[in-house]
Amino acid sequence: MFLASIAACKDTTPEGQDDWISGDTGSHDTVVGGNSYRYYHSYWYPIYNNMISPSTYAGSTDNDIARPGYTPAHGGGVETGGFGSSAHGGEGGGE
Amino acid sequence: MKRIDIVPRKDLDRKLEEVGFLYHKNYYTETAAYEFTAGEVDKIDIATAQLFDMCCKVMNEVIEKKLFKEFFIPDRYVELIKTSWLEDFCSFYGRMDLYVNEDCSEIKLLEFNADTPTSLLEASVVQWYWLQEFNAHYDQFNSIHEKLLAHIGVCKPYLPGNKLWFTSVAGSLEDFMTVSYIKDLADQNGIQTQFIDINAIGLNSEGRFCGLVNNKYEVIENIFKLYPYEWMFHEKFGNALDARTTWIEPLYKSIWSNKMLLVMLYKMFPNSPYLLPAYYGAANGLSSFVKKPVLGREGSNVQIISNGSILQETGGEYGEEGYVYQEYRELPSFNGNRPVVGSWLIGGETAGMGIKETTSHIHDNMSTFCPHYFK
Repeated sequence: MFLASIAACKDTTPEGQDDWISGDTGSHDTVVGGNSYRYYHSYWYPIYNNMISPSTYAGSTDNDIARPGYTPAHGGGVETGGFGSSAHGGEGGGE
Repeated sequence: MKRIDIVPRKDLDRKLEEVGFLYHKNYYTETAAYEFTAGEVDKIDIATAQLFDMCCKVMNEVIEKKLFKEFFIPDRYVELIKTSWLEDFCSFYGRMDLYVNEDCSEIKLLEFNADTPTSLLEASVVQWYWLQEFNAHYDQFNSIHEKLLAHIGVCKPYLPGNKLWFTSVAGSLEDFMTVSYIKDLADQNGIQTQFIDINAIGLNSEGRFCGLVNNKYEVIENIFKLYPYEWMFHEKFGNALDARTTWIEPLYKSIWSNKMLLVMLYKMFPNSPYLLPAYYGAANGLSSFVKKPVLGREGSNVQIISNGSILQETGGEYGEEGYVYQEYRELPSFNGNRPVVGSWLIGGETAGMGIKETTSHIHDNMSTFCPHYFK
């Protein structure tokens, strides 16, 4: 049971929680209304400098991006990265 | 207390990794075990309980006499710390590191890892499985797993929404596995759980902490963190800490995990057999002492002075808040191996122990874990 939960934990810490990423291997891009989007973990994200940021933007559905005038929303004004800066060089927080 | 040479179990790596002990390389070799008598274990158990009782009295004293500045606690966290103590917010665990001499006639508190203790899985699960193969007729001072499982169940009604998040530093396998173990125990209690890297925790426009779930941000009501308060207090989101989120361990652990605890304990209980003289800022006439940073970690920036001479010192980046000077007591040596007993508390109750040893005089993150038994 413990090992199963470990696998589950790893699944919940995808690359998408970094700030800016390239996205999944095999992801595909599209352009709708002049805006570029990349498909990642079942949602579309705006592309900037060939990167996406699932931690900054809420993911959009097919219907969302098809709406005329649609603007991808920031994740509810959510800011990340405010904890964790004291750990460096692979050092953990435990002792 | 004896140190016994043992033969590692066959197929050891696989057995360790099967129970989630993925960080055992150069840390757990299974070539030695420590043997105790039941009477010796009783002494450690009693000492731990009495020390914890004294720590509680220190906490009351800190609140009553407003001593937070002595612990270098920023003003904005004082009320939160008080509330977490006075309202008895959920605490899962803590580990007291003890000096124990060969016949266990002397037991002294070296420090209290109250906020972010690790070496949990090896103490609770790994050494227990070892004992079943080594000699199932022997016993072990270890009910950590059972007590932690039960205690999380006790805490369950106090977790709004019945969901508990877990967080640790990305890239630290030991921390991740420690958190995963506790998360698994929460799962077994029927609590909904979710892991998030510490740097992925978000703060929304209402000042609530949140995390991504199915690509949408969800408010974090309760979270277990393996990340020290002394770091959180000075990071960007530290100012957003408030009582709307239940943090486990609770904020009062920032007092107990602080080396000023050793000073305060000795001040309040100078005649306790479990305490070494400890002072802030100066050795106060001690000829042999250990100089420790108030907010030091993992044996960094520690200096041992023995009879006026430097016996050993370590580097690091701690010490900004000054140093605590604690009387030096040389750890017992078994062919050059020097053990420290990590005595666990679960929900404030004694629960077992794990032993780490080093060939150095200072225990740090290179110390190795040894199983134990008693008969």
